[in-house]
Amino acid sequence: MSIAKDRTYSMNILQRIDGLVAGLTINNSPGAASNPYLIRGLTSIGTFGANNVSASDYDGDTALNPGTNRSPLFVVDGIPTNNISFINPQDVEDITVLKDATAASIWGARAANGVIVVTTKKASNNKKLTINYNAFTNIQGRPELDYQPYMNSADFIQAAREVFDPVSYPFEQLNAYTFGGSGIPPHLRTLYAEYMGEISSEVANARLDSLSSLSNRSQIRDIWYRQAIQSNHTLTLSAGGVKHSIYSSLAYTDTKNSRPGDSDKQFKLNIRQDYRFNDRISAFLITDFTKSKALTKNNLDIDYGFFPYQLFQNENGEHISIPYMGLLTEDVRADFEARSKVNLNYNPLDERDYADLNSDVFNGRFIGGVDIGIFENLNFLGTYSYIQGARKSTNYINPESYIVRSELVQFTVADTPDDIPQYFLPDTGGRYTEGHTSNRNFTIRNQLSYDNSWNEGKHQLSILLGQEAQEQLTESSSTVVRGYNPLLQTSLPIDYAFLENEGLENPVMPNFGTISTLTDDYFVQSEILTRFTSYYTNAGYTLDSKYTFNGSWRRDKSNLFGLDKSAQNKPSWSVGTKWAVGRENFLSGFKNLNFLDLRATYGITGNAPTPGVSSTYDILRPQTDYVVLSNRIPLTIQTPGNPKLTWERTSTLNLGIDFGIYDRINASVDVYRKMTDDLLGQLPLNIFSGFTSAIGNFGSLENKGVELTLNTKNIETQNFSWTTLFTMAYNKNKITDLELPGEVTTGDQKVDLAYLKGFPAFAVFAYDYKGLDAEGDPLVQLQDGTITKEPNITSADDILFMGTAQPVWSGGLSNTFSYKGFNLSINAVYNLGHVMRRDVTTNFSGLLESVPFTDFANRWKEPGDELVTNIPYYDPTGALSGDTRDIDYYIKGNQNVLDASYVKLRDITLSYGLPKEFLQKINVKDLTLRFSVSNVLLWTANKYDIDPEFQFSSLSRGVRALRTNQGSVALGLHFSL
Amino acid sequence: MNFKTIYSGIISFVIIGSLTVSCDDDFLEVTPKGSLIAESVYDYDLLLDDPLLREASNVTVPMGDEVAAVEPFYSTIELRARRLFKWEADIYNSDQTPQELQTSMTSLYSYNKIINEVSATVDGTDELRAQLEAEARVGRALSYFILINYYGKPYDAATASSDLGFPIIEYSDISSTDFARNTVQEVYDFIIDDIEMALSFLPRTVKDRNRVSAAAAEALYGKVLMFQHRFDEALVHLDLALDYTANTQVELGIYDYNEEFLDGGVFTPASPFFGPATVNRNLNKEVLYDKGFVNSWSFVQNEFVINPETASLFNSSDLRLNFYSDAEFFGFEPFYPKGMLRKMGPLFQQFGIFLPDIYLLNIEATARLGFLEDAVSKLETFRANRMPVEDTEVPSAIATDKDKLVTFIFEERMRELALTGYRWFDMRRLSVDPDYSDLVSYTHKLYNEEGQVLETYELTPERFVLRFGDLVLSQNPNLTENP
Repeated sequence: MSIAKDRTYSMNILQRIDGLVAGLTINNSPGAASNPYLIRGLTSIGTFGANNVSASDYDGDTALNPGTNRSPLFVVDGIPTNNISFINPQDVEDITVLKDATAASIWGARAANGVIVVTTKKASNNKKLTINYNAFTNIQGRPELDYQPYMNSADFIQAAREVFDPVSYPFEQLNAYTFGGSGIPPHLRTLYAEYMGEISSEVANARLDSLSSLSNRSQIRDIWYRQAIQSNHTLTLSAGGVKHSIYSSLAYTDTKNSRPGDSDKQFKLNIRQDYRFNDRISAFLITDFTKSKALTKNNLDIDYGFFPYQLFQNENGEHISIPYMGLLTEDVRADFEARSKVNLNYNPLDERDYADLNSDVFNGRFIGGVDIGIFENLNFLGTYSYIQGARKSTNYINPESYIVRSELVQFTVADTPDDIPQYFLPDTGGRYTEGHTSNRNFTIRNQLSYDNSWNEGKHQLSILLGQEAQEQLTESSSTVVRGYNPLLQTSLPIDYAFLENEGLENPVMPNFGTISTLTDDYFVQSEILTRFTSYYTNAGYTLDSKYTFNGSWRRDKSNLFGLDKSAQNKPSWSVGTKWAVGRENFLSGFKNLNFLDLRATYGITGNAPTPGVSSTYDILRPQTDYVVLSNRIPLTIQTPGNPKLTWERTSTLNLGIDFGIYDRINASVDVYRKMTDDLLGQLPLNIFSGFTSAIGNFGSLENKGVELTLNTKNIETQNFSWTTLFTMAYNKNKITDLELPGEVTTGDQKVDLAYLKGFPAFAVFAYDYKGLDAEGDPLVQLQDGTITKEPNITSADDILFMGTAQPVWSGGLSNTFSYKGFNLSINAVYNLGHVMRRDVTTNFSGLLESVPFTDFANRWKEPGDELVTNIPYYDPTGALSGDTRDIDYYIKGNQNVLDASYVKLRDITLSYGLPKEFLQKINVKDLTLRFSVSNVLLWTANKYDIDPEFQFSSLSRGVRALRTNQGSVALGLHFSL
Repeated sequence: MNFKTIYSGIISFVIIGSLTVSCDDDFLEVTPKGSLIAESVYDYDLLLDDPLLREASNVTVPMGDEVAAVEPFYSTIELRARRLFKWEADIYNSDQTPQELQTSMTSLYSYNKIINEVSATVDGTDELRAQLEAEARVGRALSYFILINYYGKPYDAATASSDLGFPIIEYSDISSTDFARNTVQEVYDFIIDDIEMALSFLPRTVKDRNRVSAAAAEALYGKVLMFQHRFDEALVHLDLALDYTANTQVELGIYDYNEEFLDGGVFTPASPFFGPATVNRNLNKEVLYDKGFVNSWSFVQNEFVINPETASLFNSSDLRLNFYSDAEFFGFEPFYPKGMLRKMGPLFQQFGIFLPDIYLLNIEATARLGFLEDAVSKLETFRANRMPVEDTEVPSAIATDKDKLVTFIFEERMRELALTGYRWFDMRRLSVDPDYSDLVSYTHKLYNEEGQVLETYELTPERFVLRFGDLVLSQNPNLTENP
């Protein structure tokens, strides 16, 4: 764990163990939001939407999309915890990752995905006062905007000219007002003006040429982004007496993200006290407070995919108005402004200051424990925790903001410019939203333990018996007022009953058909309550310090709502044995063998469906998706009942060997097989049953793997040492059964699947792409050898299986060198054997309204091009889903599935500790300086400069997220008195 | 170990023991906020208020023979609408669930739940329980009436007992599988059984357009009988329905366009782009039971319009023309050739129990039974709401000839209900009508903006039914697909 301790440049404790634990995959891709941490592969699919889109499309917010949890269970100081971001990594003493059934089963339900156990620091007894100061600054830099290869102005204007089709897309249609639309960008406006004869070709060309010569790239980079920097200062004091010892830490973290104007500051105070009343009674108390304040400005969500000629500031630094970025075309805007008397201009840089989102978080973590020796060998251990968090967020949107102005026009009636506009929303003041979220979790655990050994240690017995109750409560509410004056704190009343239910007829800017309706945002409240009660026992017996047997049993029950009692009476249990072979006499001849242990465990763990979401009975919710006129709020079916619902069940068999030789090499090898049955997820249903899907048990899967951890002391002399830690994990995942909505018969169905029986989870399928035909349309090859462009022709058998998007081989290699006070650690991580989809241009029809990637220029343009390119022809009239061709043959073709293997230098850290002799003179225990560089890509298997860590799929199309935090540089200081 | 230790050990054991005792079940039996399991009769009552039950589909709109398609708009729209217009066999790709099936099936789940469960509630009154069950039955009947007209052959008494219809589903159970089709006759019997079982428990007065009344049930009964060509019985129920509408707590009737387009009328202020002002569906007095869909072809979509033949049915003084435009959406100049007209409102198209439909069915039944004078008088009263009184008269040559009158009534239905999806249902029943099958046109035309015909599509009789599609078939091996 020393590497983890030296990785002091991040506030995420899990990032610190990246590459150090065999079998733990840390996925940094933004697309992996639903499973950032996987232990030994995926064991739960959960709800991923009815149409089986890839995992990355699934919104990972477990509060909204429960079903099941894919993440490991986090246990902090003995307490299962959802949010570990409140833990200061500097306070962490140890992190353990539990993978096999015996280790996991004592944590019961939710342990099937593995358990990550975090222990925080405490002070030892009889120690003098120690003062530690730790600080770091991590310069993370700007996101790499040019990582996404969007076209520049000249190429984009050129492309837009080439594919412009004013006949299929008449100006009137584009110019018409539809709610949710936007204005017409200058290049298109110019092209239409030329087409309609408003301006001559010369004028049009001159305008387009001047757009071609502009570039907003440096403005986007400098105005909309800044260098991200995170810094942290932690001061810890610890001291211990005979009866009482105390560890306390005070921390301040300043996180500057890459968006200008945003800020995020966090203060922490953590105190752990340990009491020893007498030989038989001891107790501890952790009090941990976190307070943070953050501000988010109304920055434009922008990257180089925005029109590359559009500047935001002129040479004098004045903010440029860009009304077409609003909702309206210029003709419509002129009409709406004239009638409503409200300015509908849009200036993105001004808007940045018009809506501030402030949040203020306070979190308290209190854990107390008592250890009482009742009889000799029999102890009572009580652990009690209470965690309370409160978050207040306020969002004040200025009256000057486009949001408030355009909303006002939606609720303004004025049929002609001569009418006096009638405003149905306040025409003064802003919009103010205030939200509160509070969490309250408690855990009570009472445990009896019996430990005894007799016959001089020949027999060792330990028995544990415990009971636990947990509650997690999350409440949130939010309110919105309009006509808000932040100084006087007043707001103006509005007629929701009319504007929401009936709607305003024929306003200037209707938001639904010919009327405008207001959403019922005035009061929103939600509450999620989860309760568990558990009983567990655990026994271990060791004979001769050589033969160990253990067993565990645990039963969890969660809230009964919507669930038959019989559906959850599923205990988890495990058995295990360990044989310290190294202690056997027959091996005593092997002097260089330090130890040799053989382990075997088998057990069952579970994963519970979230109460109230998946159920045995029909669950109804208030129907608020529709406008209703009466004062009754209807009910609708939220979840249809599934009488056959049960818990997910994972059995794990683990065989392991640990050995140490020559006092230098320690290794452990584990082989495991995990079988998960009754997978919970969106069970596809027969349409005639009423629903297309519901949460149910829909399959089973299997994970097999090997893990190796190798620790070597390569060189150890008085002044120099070199140690290596190598971890490697191989995981083979296979879905052994999965019910899909009907049989997968067509290729178009199969190519979008991420989960299919007989294939690994996160499977990637592709068409057998065969380039373009003489008309520039994509060709696909069928199994019988036919090459065709006909849509809907492929059958499931014509689809190629390309691999899985989850790494098959993963691990890390860490080398640590130390010479006198210098310490150099080099940590690399690798992920091998998986595949990803390349992000290629996807728009090949319609009106070109977005900026394509540079490869768009190489598309098929005239016969003969099919020999040099495989990028299809852009067919403006080719409709949305073609009758004659299918662009997906290209986009989802096998040529666009790439090997995603990579090796990345996670970090290099150089530290220097000042000589002890020198420090002693000035009464300092330790003074260490650190310098580290993190995230340097060493090698990738693909040749398109794609960083697989930032590549994900959405709707079976590759997406390249902006690279952040690469090559960041951190400076650190440790000082101890 | 001394006595003191043992003694204090026992004490702490007792204390700890009392701490660990907890009531498992009380602790776990909490109801999460924001949702519930139906127990009270009032829960079922609120479930019947669910607007989801009143969603219909736009699937029949592009299939009507009054529709023409116009370029350049047509070739850029979604495939489904083009396939419907071309009367193609497969409307969906093989991996798609038919939209029109999904909406109906979800409603059926709720109706079956109410029918099977509400009688087990203990609070409230028995009258309320019976009424809720009755409402759900009529809701189920309406859903089945729509479904049988999507998937089953048009009702023909001679073949109905062998023609394949739609699976009859009476229970809500998501784990059920492998459905097979009942016959058209069985489905019609099922619909009528539901209505008859419901009638005596329904409210005699109309209190709420969102809920089924006796009037709505009688109207549906009459309509179903019309589709079975049982005109004499149909007229009894259609008359009864209109009688019941007199007994109402909400405003019911036919809007007089002569009034409503004047200042202060419900269709004012009219917008040049969006058409006449919208009448909220909950306040629309022509709605007896509210169910419908968003009709984008009377709003922003430009590709489907009424064809020249349909446009020529309108007298220039017909005020229903206010709902049509000769320009594209947001266009300022006349665009459509050959007199074709784009529909302009209402955005929300009624497809439940809609009084103009019921009145015209009533008139049709009257005429078909030979009560020509009566039919003409009712028709003229109806027309007086749609045009200046001086133009309402039915020409005497028509008024005295049954066949001409019935033809005229179907033209009136076109004038009243063009581009709304009703025509497809009329085409189906006319196609098997011994007397009036010639009123159906089997051709769709695609025009360019100069008015030249670019493509012509033919409707073949087997396409009067929709297909279930590959996805549904793969789930139900015993389900027979339509040809």
